[in-house]
Amino acid sequence: MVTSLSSTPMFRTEEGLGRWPYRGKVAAVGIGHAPTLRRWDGDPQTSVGAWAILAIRKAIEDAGVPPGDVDMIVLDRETSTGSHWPQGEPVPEDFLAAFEQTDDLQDGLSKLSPEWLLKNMPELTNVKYVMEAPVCMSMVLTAAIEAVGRGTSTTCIAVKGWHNFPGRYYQGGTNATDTIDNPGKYGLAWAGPASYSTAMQFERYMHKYDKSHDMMAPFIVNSRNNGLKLPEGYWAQHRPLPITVDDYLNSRWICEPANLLDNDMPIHTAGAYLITTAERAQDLKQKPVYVLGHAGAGEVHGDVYTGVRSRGIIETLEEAERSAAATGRKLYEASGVSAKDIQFENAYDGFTLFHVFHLEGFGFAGVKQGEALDFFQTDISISGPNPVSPSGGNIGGGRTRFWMHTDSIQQIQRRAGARQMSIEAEIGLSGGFMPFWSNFIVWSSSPNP
Amino acid sequence: MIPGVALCPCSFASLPLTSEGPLRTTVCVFRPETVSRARRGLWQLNELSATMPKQSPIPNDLDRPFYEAADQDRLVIQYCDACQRWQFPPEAKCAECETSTSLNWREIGGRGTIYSYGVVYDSPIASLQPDQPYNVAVISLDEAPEINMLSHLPGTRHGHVPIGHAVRVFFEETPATGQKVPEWRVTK
Repeated sequence: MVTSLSSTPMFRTEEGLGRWPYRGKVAAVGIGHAPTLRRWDGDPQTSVGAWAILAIRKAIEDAGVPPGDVDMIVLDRETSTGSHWPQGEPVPEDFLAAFEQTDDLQDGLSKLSPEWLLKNMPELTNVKYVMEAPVCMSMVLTAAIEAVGRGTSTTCIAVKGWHNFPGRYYQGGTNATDTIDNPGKYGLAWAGPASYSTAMQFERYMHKYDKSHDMMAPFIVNSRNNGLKLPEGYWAQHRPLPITVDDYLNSRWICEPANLLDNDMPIHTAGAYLITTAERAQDLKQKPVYVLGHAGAGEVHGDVYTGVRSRGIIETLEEAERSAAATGRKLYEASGVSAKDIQFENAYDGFTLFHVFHLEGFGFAGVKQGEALDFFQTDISISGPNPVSPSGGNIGGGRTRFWMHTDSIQQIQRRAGARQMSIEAEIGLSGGFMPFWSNFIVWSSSPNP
Repeated sequence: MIPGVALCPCSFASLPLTSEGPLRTTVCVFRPETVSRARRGLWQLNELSATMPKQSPIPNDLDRPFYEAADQDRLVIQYCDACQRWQFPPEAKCAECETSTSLNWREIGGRGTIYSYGVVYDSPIASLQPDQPYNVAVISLDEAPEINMLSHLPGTRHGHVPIGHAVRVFFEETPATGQKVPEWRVTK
């Protein structure tokens, strides 16, 4: 008997909640990643469902737990990077034959349900609970962490898959029609690219703080350099080419001031983490990485979790800054640490300009609002005193929104390989995605630093 | 003939003059989309002041007052009398008090200020692609600065958007259904 639970109550979005009650009592002990592709190649064994299974199995193996110990799965049913299965095109017969199917034939192909996973992972004999969390791995992972903290689960898998099909994404559907009946009709449909809102905020940022877009270049170069040292990532696997400052400055605009290299690239992959109690973590294969706290930005209305609503049609820079700063306060309150304790940060970067708002919101390395671009001109590499985005993020590894968690865990476990930072990292943070809708986690080598 | 503009031989579109004189174009080089738009009578002779063909919004029960007012060249948005708070985009309830009893539609002045902007070079919206690159400005309403709307800012060259400058609303007809929507121009 598997029970489905809501993830909505699992998130800490209010200020004043105090210390997270399960501080140091939950740990990450396993990481699993499927390979990456730019787009699905049509092989059933590289479908998003198949790769989610592979990622889960790797995470279980990495942790060294018997598969039968897994008692809970948390996932995001949505797997689209922006591309959808072509309307009217039948699901390939070889895919249908390769897996046990649910009533929805798109399951495992362009979406991922817990039912589909359980049908195709017979070794998971003890799963009692499943939970769906929206949008990205940061939500999924946070829900898994909270579930273990509350005692709902002892051995929990957090999994997120991303499918990407051939063709340009976001080009079909309503975008190809001459009428519109969704909320975009109030004005957002007049913009276009997904990066518009961030680009607009960044234009305001430059106006407000007298900065320029080229000051982002060191961050982009650093992110790609770090991403090329992430063997799990797309760029390291398929296009091991560094970015130069000139590459960035000469990149074509998508929505000025966001160019192609400010936009993350959609890819096809899956990732999973194994989360357990601090007690259980003691005798597993990997060094436990403890969770000191988590917090995010969002609103809960009944059983629906949404981002923080903006007052107008689009979130302003000031609203983004307020959300990022509030998330910083909540995270430090939950985890019992302060900005000066954070040795590295793996905040979301897809689009890159988000990273500026997050970094300032957390006050990483003492950086205040309006100062991040000046900070980027200092040594932000993994060799320096204040490593920024050591994972390389979405820019360095492709659009997954989970490389930053993998890196944070690996850095503290001292198994980040070529990315291992010069500093002895004991405490760091990771999370995303946008300032108005996010979840961040503080990781530590010690349950009570 | 309007100064600064030559008529394309195809008679569907106007061509801007170069500094040396009229373009020596004998064959229309305008894109088919542009010609199509010209056939629909939407092309305006001065390219800088031309509006862009937006997708036609389909009104529903919630937002019909907004669109009916737009067709009458009036800007109305929701206002909660209890909270004394403007609200846009439309919602079934006031986001503050979460009731609908005090939520009404009220006319608001059509003056605003440019808050920020982006210049779009690669849009997924098919109907906007022929006009790339184009401005998308965020307009903050003078009577309710926390409320904003988006604008293509016709009359302003792409990338030359004056943040902080005053703008004024007008109402633009959308091609597919004729539904009007609010648009904004920089005031002189």
